[in-house]
Amino acid sequence: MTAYLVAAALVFLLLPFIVFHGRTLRRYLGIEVGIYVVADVLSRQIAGLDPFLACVALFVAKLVVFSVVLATSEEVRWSANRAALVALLLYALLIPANVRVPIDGDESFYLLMTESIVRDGDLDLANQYAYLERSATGRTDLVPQIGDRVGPRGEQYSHHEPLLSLLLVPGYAIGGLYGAVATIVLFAALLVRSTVRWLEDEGIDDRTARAVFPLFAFAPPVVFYAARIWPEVPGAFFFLETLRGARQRRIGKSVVALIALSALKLRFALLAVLLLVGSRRGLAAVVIAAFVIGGMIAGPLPADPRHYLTGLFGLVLDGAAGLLFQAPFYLLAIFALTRWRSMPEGFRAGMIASVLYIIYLVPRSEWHGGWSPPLRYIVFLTPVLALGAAAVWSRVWVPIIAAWSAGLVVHGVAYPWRLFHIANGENVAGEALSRIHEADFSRMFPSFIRLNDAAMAGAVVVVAIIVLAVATRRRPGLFDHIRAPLVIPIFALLLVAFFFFGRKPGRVVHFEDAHLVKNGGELYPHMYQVARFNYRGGWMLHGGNSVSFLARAGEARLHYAARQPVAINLAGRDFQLPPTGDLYGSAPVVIGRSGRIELKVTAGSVNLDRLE
Amino acid sequence: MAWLAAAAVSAFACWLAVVHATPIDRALPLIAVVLTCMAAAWRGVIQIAVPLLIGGEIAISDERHRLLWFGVVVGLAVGTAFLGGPWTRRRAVLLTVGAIVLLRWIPVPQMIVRELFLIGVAVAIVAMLRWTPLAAAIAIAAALFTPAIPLRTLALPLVVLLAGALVRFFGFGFMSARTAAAVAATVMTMFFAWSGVLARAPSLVLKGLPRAAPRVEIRTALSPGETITLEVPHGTRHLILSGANVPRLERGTVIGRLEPGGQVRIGEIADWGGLRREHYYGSRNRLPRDPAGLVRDYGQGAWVDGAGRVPVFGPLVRITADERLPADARLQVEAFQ
Repeated sequence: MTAYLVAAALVFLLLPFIVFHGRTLRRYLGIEVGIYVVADVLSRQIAGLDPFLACVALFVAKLVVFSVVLATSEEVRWSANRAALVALLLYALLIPANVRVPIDGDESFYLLMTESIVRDGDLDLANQYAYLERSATGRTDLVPQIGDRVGPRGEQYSHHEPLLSLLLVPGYAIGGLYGAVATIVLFAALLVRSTVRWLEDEGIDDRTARAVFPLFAFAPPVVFYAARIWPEVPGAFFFLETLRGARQRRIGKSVVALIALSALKLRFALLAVLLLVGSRRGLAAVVIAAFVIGGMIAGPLPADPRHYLTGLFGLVLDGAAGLLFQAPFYLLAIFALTRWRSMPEGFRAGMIASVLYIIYLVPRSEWHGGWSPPLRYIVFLTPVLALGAAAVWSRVWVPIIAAWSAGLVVHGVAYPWRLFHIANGENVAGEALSRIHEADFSRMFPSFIRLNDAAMAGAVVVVAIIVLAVATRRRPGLFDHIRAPLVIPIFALLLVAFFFFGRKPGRVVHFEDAHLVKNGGELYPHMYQVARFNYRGGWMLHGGNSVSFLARAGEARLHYAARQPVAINLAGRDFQLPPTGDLYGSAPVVIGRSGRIELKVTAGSVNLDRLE
Repeated sequence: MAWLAAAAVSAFACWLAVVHATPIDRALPLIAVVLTCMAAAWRGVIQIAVPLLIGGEIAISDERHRLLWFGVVVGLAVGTAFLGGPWTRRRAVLLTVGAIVLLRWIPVPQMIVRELFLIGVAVAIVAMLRWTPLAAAIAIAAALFTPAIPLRTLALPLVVLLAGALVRFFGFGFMSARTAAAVAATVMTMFFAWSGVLARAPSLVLKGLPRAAPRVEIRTALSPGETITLEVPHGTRHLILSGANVPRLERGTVIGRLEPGGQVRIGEIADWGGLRREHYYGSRNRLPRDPAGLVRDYGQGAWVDGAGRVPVFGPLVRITADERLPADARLQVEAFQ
């Protein structure tokens, strides 16, 4: 911890010398000292707070100050290389933070493949699974995943593409797990460099690029993937290089990057289709896209438009997996979409290139990324979205976005394991508030994973805003009013309304949610069930177990599954629940009064899904 | 008009958000108004503090952590208001007055006229020191450290004003020292919820405000010459003692005796209420060497009682109040810890 603190302090001491000079440098160093003074005083007051959280909060606060000075000062030495160096130093600090706990999700399997290449010279993971205690993954619970191939002699192959594992080989050979993660950090720094260069190429002025840079590089989702063994950051780098090559008519560079992109993850090959056609040939692009989409819908994709709407709005609004709550900076790119014709050509080319990918992604049940940090599937698109955000930067006001992003970074770096969510319709903020107030705050966040009322309302609001933005795109004065002093007070009022209604009983009670006070029982299916989001989640209660929660008075239906008859007591009344076999069923119940009630199982076992 | 409306809406939002009962929580609307005024003086970005305050009110249930969060938000807002952009007289006055309101008007003071006079003197100090950021920080500090009870303590800001006048009269240069002023203002306002403790026991605040720890309560007071023998509870190593009616005793004066343990003097413990705003001026004893007092009350009225921690040895301890103490003085045996 002390070594980490010293390293972080040194890095933050170096940063101003990389980009500032003159009076700005002196003033920043003064502020640096001031921050430490304040932090020292503050650290003596917060007994009981997690020291690592406090440490991360301090350095994120310093990063915020650094970013503000970078964006607003004149005496700045700015270039893509300097930006990359700043990013490299800061990302390096993420390595020990992330590997404090064993790596998770697909990371472990990519690393197993790297270990197999380094140690055995093959991709057969059978011996890796057999001797997991020798693995740098730190995971002894790994088993082959669904979709993994088994060879004729029992070879065990991962379903993941091997390119990322190959790229990790030099780093792993030098530094084991740290070296492998450092390889991704290098890619992340390259991504930052390319993005800054791209902003310059696309006509974004220096001042705006400096303002956008921290929100791209050090805000979610990039920062959460910058030091993790996922293909997303290398993918973003290769995608951007493909785009830049295409824009600069450097076909060789573009094709090499495109091949690497597709080999990294097959799904990225969809990006190639429209890139190859080129954004200038509009009709050809539309025809090819129509063919591919038609083929996809006829084949693997569902035809039901509701799936598409769920995924699309989910990526924008979902509390656990959408831009609004997990990476609000990129909402500006949605705003940029409404100004399509006036946007930089690179933005338009990037968005067009990603259309097929998005169409393929949104109807999937795993549109939210599954067991991974949020927004996994659109990390590759962030440079394009950042360009869109930069193009509208002068017309928006971002303190709330910046503050929320800083909070996300503090949380995600201090508690990296919390970035992995079971995708049950809740999110970390909702769960925390639910636990504190023992009321269902999760329902106040839009969820498209478990569709709720807030999601429907949010979708309507988004559509209204987009329509308004499109309708007023020729009147630049309208959105200039966003800077008015009333914006934050109104936001504060909405926050209070959110809190007020959040403490009231909800219309639906999901029994696995965090707001219930549980006395016994267990989560069903268990937390690490693969693709758990495809199951109807619930809470198993056995005889004598109970849960209490806020509920509304009146008639309701209890959704549950039970193999045997179950007797329950709900708010003082006894009910008999008939068996449902292997399926879910429901039974009518009556709740006598609004407020906190208890549901107790008096005989039998039942998997409770929801009460509505 | 827009800023007036912003202040009103912010205050209303904060008023609706209040769920906790402390005077600081109840003063959130006032804090919102002050912060909006500061935002009006410089940049709207300071308004972001309002939703952050509301977020703290909603999400942080532990009182100490919540009030500290308010302090951090307010302190950073005030510090930010010192930095960047052109420095104007209006900005200097609004920041000074705003910070003083935060430090002294929560909860609302009883002697309004004195407080208004103090604000007037603070603005005069800023003017005398040519409206610089450093002048604003000095004026805020002068106001913070003035108990204003009794009336004669108002001499402190007046002395600062006089010193400022002399500096100006003799034509010394005026430093802006904006960053230093911002840091000083941040630290001062960060503790607005316990500004009285910061003013009267700054070292205690800088070392870390005491938190209540588990104690085995005794709660008895010994008259001069009186003795009590106590069994030392298992797992405790200290006795928490304080004095009553001993504020005028000099440091080093013997107040009692522990057997085993030796003499207990003023300096190891202090008068229980000696750091109260109304008693501070008349008190000679200062903070105990190993303070064990608890933070009481809020704002400028906040104080820490003068209990001190004294080590105990053995299974039994005999405590005797010194017989030379004044007749109304008491040695208070508060607890084992």
